[in-house]
Amino acid sequence: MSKVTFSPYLIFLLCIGITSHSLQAKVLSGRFVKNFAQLRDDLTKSELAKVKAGHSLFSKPWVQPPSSTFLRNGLGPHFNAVSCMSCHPGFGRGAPPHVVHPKDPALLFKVRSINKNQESSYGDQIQPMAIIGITPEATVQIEYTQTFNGKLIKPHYQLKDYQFGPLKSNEYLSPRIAPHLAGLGLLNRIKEEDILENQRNGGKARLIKGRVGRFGWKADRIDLRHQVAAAFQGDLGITNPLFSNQPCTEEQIDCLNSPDGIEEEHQFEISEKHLGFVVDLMDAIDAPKRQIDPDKISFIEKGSTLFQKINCQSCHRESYQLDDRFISPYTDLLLHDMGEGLASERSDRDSYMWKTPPLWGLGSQKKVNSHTRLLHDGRARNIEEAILWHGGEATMSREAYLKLSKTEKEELHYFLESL
Amino acid sequence: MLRNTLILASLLGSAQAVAYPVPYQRSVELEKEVIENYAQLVFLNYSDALAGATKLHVSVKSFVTAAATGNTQLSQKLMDVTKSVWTTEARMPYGQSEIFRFYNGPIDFEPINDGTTSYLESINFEGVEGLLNAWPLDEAYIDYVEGAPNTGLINDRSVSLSKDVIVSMNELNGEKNISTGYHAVEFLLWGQDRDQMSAGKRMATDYIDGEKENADRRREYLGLLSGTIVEHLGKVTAQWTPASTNYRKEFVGRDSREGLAFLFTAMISMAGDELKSERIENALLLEDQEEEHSCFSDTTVNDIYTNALGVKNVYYGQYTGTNMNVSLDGAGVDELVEFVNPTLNAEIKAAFENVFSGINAFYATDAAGNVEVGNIVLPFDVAITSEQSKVQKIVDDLDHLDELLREAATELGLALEI
Repeated sequence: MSKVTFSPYLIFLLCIGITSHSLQAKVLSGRFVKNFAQLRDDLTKSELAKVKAGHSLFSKPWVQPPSSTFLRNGLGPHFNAVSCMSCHPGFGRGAPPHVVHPKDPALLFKVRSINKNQESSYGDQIQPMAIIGITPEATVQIEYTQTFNGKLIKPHYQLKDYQFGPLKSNEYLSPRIAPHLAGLGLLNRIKEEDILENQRNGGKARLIKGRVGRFGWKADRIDLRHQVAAAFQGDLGITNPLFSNQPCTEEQIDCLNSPDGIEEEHQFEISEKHLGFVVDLMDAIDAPKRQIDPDKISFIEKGSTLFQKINCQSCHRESYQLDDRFISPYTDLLLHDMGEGLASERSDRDSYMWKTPPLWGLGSQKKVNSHTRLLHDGRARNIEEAILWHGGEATMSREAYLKLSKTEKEELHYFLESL
Repeated sequence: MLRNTLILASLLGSAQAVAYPVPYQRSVELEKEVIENYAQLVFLNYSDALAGATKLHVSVKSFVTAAATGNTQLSQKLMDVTKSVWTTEARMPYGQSEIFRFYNGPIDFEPINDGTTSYLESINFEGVEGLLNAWPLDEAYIDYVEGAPNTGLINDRSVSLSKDVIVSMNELNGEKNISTGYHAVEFLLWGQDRDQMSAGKRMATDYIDGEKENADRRREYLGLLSGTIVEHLGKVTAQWTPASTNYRKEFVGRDSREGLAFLFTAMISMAGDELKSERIENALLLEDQEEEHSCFSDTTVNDIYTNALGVKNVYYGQYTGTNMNVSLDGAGVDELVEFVNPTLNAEIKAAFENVFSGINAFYATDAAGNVEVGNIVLPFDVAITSEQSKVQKIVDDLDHLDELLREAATELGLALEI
């Protein structure tokens, strides 16, 4: 049995070994631990130059207007972070406040309305920071209570220090944490047919104007450009060709009257060309490498078998054949009802639905980001807790997991930590 | 199974460079000598930078003291002196030291959750690079700018200024509003550069009561800034002091190949990623004339020169002081490369020559044809709009140097993750 599952591993490892010793291998600078900063090895020199320019726009802080640093000018007026890197340190996954840093900005809150179409006084999301002279919208207080016989912690979110009143009775907060970014360009290349076909195992593709959504915790962004542009506007307050308005609502007069960072002949705070460089960067970061501890290889093999046995792969689909490459992200990119436990309090059906996140990178997260927090708001403190939070469509798998022996659970964890 | 384990072990994704499993010709004694010499080079360079920062602080103090008395003429004179100290004594050695980033040494240290505790982790050391040299500066966060006459910490009298306050404000809300370091001092000395034909035009009257709002706070802020540079550089220098219990002790005590991997990581990161891509090629691609790190003073050419010189220093094992009368010339990386591949060593030395001939074209030459380093005749912001081929030449030469250094690392049996 173990012989059968062993050989594909070895072949896989040998394959990555060939590229990892190439003289041309390039990684992005920044953090010392670079597991999420590996670039695809098929980039040409001119592509690499664009990626580096994108990296600069991604990692350097944006500054508040007016400023003589023209092209990085335009932060806010409201914002969640001053750079993309703030929430994705080392291109990795962020954590809720106080886990790594007391004021970690990586957990943000969308404002959703149960009646869908009504715009909140706060707009699409809460921006807890503002440039000098502008009052921030609000902050979100987080409190945790114990649940599941004291094994899990459940977060409770409440709007505080609000400038535009409390949330309306039909509004709720929907938390989202910044995921790691390695391999997004490869996910971008999965064919829409493949994602749609995944629906026969359950789950639902989100369709946006005839395209299949695949990025974001709600699968509401159709491609990298859409995702990057939305984040520039929503999180940094940087207007761009896709999202050309400042993140201010009609009630937010000081925000609307604040100077912008648009210089001379330019139309937006980040131009189409520069936005393109950041998209090129996202496209260029390679999938995370497997993290195989040679002492654990037999556990990992067994864990892989258990992963199938308790039917995790039904949603965490292992692999895809792209035009020129075979990838193993472990996701179907579909929305699933994950049960009441993961839904917002006092919310609607949409709040139960979460896109299956890819599992690749699980083994690198702790090294890059110094934490093991998982799920859409970082409530799970480790892999086991993340599994225990699975409900709704994933209830059967969670029940099967609970029935595993202690050793089997460990094997499954070793496998997941090898991804 | 044993064979499999060996293969696996060689493939493990370590954060640092891993050694090739194949043997190569090496001289452990020479490697150790190179590492020891490097540690001394780092110490001398930081000591020199610290001496320069101290001169800057003294000069700032005399300038703001004169400004406080309201003597405009003397203030202007001392302000000009301070600008000159910033440009030469303070920045020239610091620029050379920037190569000591990139391997999680003291300057840019951050703790890593890998199950082991390094020396710097054991003393809860915090890297200071972000406080010393971060860019771009949040101008409007510090002082007035064109279009916003009352903005910034200086003009907000509700905030009482202190070292702790300006350092903590640098990371307000867990986010960086860059408000400390060399470029903050630069902004307060020169002001915004809104004109391609010159640097920023801030006058000493900004520091004189009755001439400009909040002049007292501007004097105070500038003095605090230059003081914190001295303090932060002092912390880093102490970690490289010989014969102490500090980072240097751990650094030279490591397997010499791990140390060598750090040296190559630093040289390649500086030559390729930082200098070539981030500082020069990006400015061309992003097409912004103020996409330059010393934009207020228009001295970015010096940054490029000193950053490149830092790489050369490490390769040759040499350092010549700006403020201190020191001249180190010990075992450099060049000797190791000479040992394994003399042709490659010659190619790398020629590549350095090319890089510097490109950069020197931005400086004046004296009557005898010698380059006057620091005497900029072609500012970088002008060059990236009107002399792009001269900029492109530096990019190409650095790219070539980057490749050759990677080749040398391979020849020395180092697999680098860069």
